[in-house]
Amino acid sequence: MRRQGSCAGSEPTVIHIDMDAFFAAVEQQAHPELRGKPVIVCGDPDGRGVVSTASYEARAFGVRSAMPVKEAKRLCPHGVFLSSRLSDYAAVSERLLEVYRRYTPVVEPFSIDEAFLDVAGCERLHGDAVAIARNIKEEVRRGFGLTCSVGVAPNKFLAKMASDMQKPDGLTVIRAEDVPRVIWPLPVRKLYGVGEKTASALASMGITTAGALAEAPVEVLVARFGVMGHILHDVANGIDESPVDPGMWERPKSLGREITLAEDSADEEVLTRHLLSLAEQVARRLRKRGLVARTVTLKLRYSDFATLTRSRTLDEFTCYDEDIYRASVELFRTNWTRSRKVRLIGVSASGLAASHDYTCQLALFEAPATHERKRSLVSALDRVRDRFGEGAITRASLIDVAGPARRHGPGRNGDREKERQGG
Amino acid sequence: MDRLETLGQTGMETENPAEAPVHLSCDRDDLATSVATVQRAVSSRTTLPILSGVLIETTPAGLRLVGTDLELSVETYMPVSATAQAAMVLPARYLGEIVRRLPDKEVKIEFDPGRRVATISSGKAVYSINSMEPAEFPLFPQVQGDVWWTVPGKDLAEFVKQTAFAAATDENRPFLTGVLVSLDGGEARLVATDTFRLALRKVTVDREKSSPNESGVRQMIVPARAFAEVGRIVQSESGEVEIYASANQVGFKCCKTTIVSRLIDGQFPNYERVIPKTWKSRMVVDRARLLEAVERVAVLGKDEFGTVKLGYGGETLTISANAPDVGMAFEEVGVTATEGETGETALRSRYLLDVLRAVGDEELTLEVTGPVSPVVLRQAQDQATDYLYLIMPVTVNA
Repeated sequence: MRRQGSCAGSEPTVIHIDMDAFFAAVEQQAHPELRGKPVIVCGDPDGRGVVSTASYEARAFGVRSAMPVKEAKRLCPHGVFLSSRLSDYAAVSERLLEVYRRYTPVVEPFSIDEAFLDVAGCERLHGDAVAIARNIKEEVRRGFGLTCSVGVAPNKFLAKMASDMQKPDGLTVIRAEDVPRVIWPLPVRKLYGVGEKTASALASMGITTAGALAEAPVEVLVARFGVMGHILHDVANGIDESPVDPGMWERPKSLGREITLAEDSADEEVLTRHLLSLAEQVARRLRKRGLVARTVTLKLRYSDFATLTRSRTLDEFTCYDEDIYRASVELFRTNWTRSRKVRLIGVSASGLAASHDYTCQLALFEAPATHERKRSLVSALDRVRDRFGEGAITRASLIDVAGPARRHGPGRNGDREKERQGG
Repeated sequence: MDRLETLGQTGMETENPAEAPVHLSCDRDDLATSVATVQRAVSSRTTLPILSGVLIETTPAGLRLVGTDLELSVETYMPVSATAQAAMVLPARYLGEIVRRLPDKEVKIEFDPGRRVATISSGKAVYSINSMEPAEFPLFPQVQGDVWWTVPGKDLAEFVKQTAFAAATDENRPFLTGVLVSLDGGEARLVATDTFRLALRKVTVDREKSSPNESGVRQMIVPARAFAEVGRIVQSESGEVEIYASANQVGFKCCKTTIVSRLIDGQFPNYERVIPKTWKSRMVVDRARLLEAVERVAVLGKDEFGTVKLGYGGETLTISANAPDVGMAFEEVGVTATEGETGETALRSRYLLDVLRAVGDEELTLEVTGPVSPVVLRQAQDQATDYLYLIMPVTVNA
């Protein structure tokens, strides 16, 4: 039996599993001589990248994820710095999911080292959620030599909060009745999904703890945060209706964005600026989903509704704005009938593959740093957007593109969002 | 009468008084070889119907066959006995199929100029094939230039085989779709690169067989596809090939056959800059064993990216591939003369397989030069600088 949603008050059947210092632990497992030593996994140990994962031994020296490698070396000069081997970690991650799936079919991989499980209905086979969590921990320890922190709760939000409470190697249960005792004393910033910006906005309203948020009138929150207001109020009360969705991370066949212009246009500059914005959004979504694409498709609809789509396959896979932009502009310039007014313009990416499987082909006659620079710029921009929202940072040439479009649903931003699920 | 004048230009002694049928007789194997040779220039996808044909005409020098796609043109001569002058353009696709299968050594072609039909017979087999209009067939390009270099056909075929495959296929940068041929005093070089790998063949040239210009250096970029066809045509030539060129065309002339290709405009990149001068690890590998091992391992590297990993620096070179959701493959190949560091590098298997299939050497020297600089393969024998192949590694997109 699959349950579409769970909320405070129901049985704790949702399990959140978070692997402890996953990349570093996999390395320590693969190289026994590294066990007990501070291991720091990063993009490039000699470069200007950041730390991906630090083992608990390294954390004792103050090394943290996302810290510049340089600083980590200063804090922990005798640490073992390794460059990350994502495909190896992904392979372990995949095998872990197979373990979880032996207990329940409802497994949602949440990231390379986290997963949600809903074990409702599995009790007669495997025992209750707590027993299952214990068994999984034991299997992961014996089969992989890895530890994980596990949260058991009636819903995903509380399970995620729970797994975070005892690290490493913890097992924490939060029941609905525990919410006032466990959640309410927490500062709002500790609630999963509440960023710095939201926290400071709440602080300006006099709300600093989860308890205060839970008691705040929902209308006030909605007035200030829109739809997010409801969600904030719910989570502070330990309510989360979102189902554990095994299909959540399945690879789509294509990712695309299209936009109907506020006013039909035959102005090349306006149209190419829209292409840049669309390419940026498509690339961003590829990166968010951990995908790379090889085919770019342009869609144009003229004022008379005549529609054309044209595709181009790139030499190499990409998840970068500029590559997708360049291909779509090229398609646009060769296929657009000049002076013909355009009503709708769209860009999509297909031929998708997981980026952790992807290896980037370096080129002769090109400074090796070019690629690295592109990657670090994009990941910096992504971090800004993750924290402050999609509109937080954009190209100067796009500043007035965001406004004039006549947007239509059902996408979150109003743009029509097209995603065909594969497999 | 017009027709007679046209044909008269070829200068055959016997003129055809009326539009009476002309009888030609030739050897099947000569004909099959000649058709196969000129067919290399005929494109299967052409917008001009006449280009799908092979021009066949009688000349004082024998039967002349021509095929062209306007970029590459091939002309060859073969022995024939003819009762009069004749010219016809027959569809290359059918002609090739037909002559290969003819039952008897002797082939007779009866051409009826009035109906423009060629009747090809051999043994009891008879084909009547409609000819296209020979006057519409493009003139064979004349290259106004002097001879650069004279080289044995077999050697040229080998140099082309070792380099042309490394050229780019994508038309974004046209100058990379060709092979750079440069002549500098006593040395000729053939270079091709698609920026992911680079092949360089150096050849010592007899000064008497080459003619550098005043500045001492001559360079041209020959389209790789055309060059590969040249290689295939001249590989069976026992004699020498004369290479001559003008500013925009190059010709290759061996005894019976002339090949003309357009040249590619543009500046070839400064390839010497990217050839590593040092290495971090070096070893000698057996080419055939490495080829087989990479082919076996690459079965699991056949995802979208086709990556294989090389582990170097020990007594063996390890080759492995990992196919997500499928599994992994691993193989070791013994190496000799290992020097330097140990480590791991990842390459697209295709780039490695291409070179291992293109060179005939028994042993190759493999050098690793760094995580973001090329893997270098050289001939391991004494002429160690004659052939060089670079492959840029791939990095994992962390």
